[in-house]
Amino acid sequence: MLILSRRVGESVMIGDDVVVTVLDVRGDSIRIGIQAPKDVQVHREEVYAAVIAANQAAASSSPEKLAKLAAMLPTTPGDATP
Amino acid sequence: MTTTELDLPTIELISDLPGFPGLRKFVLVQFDGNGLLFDFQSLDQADVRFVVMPSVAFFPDYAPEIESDVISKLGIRAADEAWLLLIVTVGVDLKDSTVNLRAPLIVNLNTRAASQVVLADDRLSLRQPLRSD
Repeated sequence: MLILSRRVGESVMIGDDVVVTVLDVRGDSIRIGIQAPKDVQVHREEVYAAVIAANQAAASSSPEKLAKLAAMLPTTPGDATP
Repeated sequence: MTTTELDLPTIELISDLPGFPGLRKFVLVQFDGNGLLFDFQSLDQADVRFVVMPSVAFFPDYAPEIESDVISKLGIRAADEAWLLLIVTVGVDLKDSTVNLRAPLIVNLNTRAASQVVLADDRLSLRQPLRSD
């Protein structure tokens, strides 16, 4: 792991287009600002891991279960589509 | 446009789905007659498939605050241009089936650009049952 020291207001570059700036330090909490291109999503690590787990669970829904679920849904949903 | 995409609404993700890197092109196919469930199927990898539902059907009050950054990246200029889809984990019944309220898909209805956005509000569940009673 690369370890750098930075002061408030200073930044690090990751690759050519990601800029991480230290905005504020209070005790053991640090506020950072991140500038990244639109195809780079930035997440808190623990939340990202939870979303990966949820997506993987969702992707394994079987067609049989899906057909059963569809049959259980109400038949008059109102304005569900745009 | 290739033959497989013809007449199917192709959704192009502007960023990877967490856990599914590199898959950016999907088709959205209505599964039931009422527009409650859709197949969200990868065009890049045929075995990757999700079930999604518009939030309004089961969660009419769901109106999460979405960062303006995401909205501008998707080129959304008006609220009616955005379509919120919830990813469903299908279970044996409605109580066992859940949706991810924390990380919905947002689709620009005009351009069909989309992104799964992880919302800041940590009260939103990643596994909200369709029926809780």
